[in-house]
Amino acid sequence: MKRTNNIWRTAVLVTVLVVSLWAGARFGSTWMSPTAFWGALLRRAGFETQTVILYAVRLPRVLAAVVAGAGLSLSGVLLQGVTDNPLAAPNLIGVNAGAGFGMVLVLSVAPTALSLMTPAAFLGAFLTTLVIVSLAARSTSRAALILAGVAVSTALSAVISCFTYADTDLLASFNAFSVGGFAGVGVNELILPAIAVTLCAVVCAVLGDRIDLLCLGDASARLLGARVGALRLVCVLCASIAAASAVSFAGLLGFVGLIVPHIARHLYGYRTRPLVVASCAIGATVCVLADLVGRTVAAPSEIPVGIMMALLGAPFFLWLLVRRGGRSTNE
Amino acid sequence: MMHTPRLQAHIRAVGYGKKTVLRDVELTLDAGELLAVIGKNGCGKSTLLAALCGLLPFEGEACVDGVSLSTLTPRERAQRVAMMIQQPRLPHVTVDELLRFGRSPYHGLSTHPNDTDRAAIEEAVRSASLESLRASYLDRLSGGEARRAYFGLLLAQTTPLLLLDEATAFADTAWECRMLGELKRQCRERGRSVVLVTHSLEQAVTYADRLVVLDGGTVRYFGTPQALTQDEELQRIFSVRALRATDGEGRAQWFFSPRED
Repeated sequence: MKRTNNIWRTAVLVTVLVVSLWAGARFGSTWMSPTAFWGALLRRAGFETQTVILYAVRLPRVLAAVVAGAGLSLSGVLLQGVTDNPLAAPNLIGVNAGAGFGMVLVLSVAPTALSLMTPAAFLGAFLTTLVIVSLAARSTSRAALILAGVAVSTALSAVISCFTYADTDLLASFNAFSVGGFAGVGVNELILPAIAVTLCAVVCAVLGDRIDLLCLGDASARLLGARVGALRLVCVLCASIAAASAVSFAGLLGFVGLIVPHIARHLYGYRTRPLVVASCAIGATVCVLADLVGRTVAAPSEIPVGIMMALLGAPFFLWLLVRRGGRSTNE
Repeated sequence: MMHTPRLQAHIRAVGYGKKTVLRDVELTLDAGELLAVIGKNGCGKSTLLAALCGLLPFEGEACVDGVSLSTLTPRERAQRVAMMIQQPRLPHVTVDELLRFGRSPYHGLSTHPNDTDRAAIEEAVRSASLESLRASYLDRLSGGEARRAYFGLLLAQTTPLLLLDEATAFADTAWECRMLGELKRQCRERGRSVVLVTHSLEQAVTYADRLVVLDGGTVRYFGTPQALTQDEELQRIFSVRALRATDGEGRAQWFFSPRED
């Protein structure tokens, strides 16, 4: 019965993802008739303008939304699992503060070096997470990771504020980064993040059955032969790499890494393998749809995807919470 | 041929950080025997079990069937020693899924059950009377039912050495008798050995083959459980007096009542 339900859920999930991918490519601020859309997709003569719009603007945006959504959701589902905290999200392990710090550093030292922005954001996020993980490793408490994350993030945010307070141009650039979005992202920028997110998902799926043991608590998992410390480290590093990859090109997209894991866990339970796949698929769908709404609802103006996601996601999350009688999906 | 005990442990010191809880603990236990560990609250009973199962590092050595546990990988150790902890977590997983976790030490990255796993799980279900609870979620069970499920997990692991920390807490009288009887059956028929931490002196005298009394951070007594019914000094540790009664069929039963002096 449970297996049949999961097959149905997966079928619905895949269908919704495919439809959202199609809609993301099909619709935008410029109207495209069905004939023009297919003509552009197949690069037929007579549809040159639509071909440029589709291949240079819409498809890269859709791909960016897929990679960012999958990366942040994967990160969230891993972090909520290993910290046993339903509020855990990539920003809690310093991803946002670290990426922001990397960006601000480059913007203030070499504001014209655009090619350094993405690597700086990735390195900032990843190195900050490493610092937080090594600080938390001195304690055996699961809360140590979150507490260390809050402390380091607060310190970095203060440094960012110092930089932006002194330089208003820097503040404007940082604000655009902190809202998050996919405008102007090129396919070349997405190759490395896409590979990183895929590798992280594969590693966690391969280790899935061992990671599942962590839900019994550290003592029981160790009694069943799990290397708890090593598994937790792998999960946190994968979470860090996946989220850092996403924010490096998409900016500080909040919320998706928090709500999508709850939806995935609500649908698929505790098992890591289906959770990894489902959270990537749901995260991609949410980001593609939020971006689509953001660029069509007030066209030709655009509402950044981070704002759209918070506007649409928060009521949905509350609805889910009320429907479950206030229980978190970790329970 | 030299006789190899099931468990041979010499713990020179074990504790938490700089605080030593137990010193100079020597234990041996043969295959098919049940060892009861008793002592007052905070005397180190759970610490002893945590050391024996590898949860807590200690100075000394513990061997199961002649193999030092410190030389084994976590998975190899989990194939030799299983433990039922005092306060297990109750995640949103079914009893069936929990029992399947018990087979994970025998698998690598995939835990897809084979015929041996299925047979072990079925036997654990029967032994722990879990037939009606298999599809129930752990976080929806009563305290006693959840501990029964963890007793099933202990048996599904099919290890030669079983460690139980206050396993009968929350158990009703019927299940307590059934569980202790089942442990004795596992010793008798499967040749498994059991180390049972308990607060019940009656349980220790009735079911154990050997007894360890912990007091003052070390072993006060190690031997047959009958000593508890005869040795006034041992009874003083627990501030009790042993009382003998005879049931309707003439069998002796021991009870312990608080002493005034």
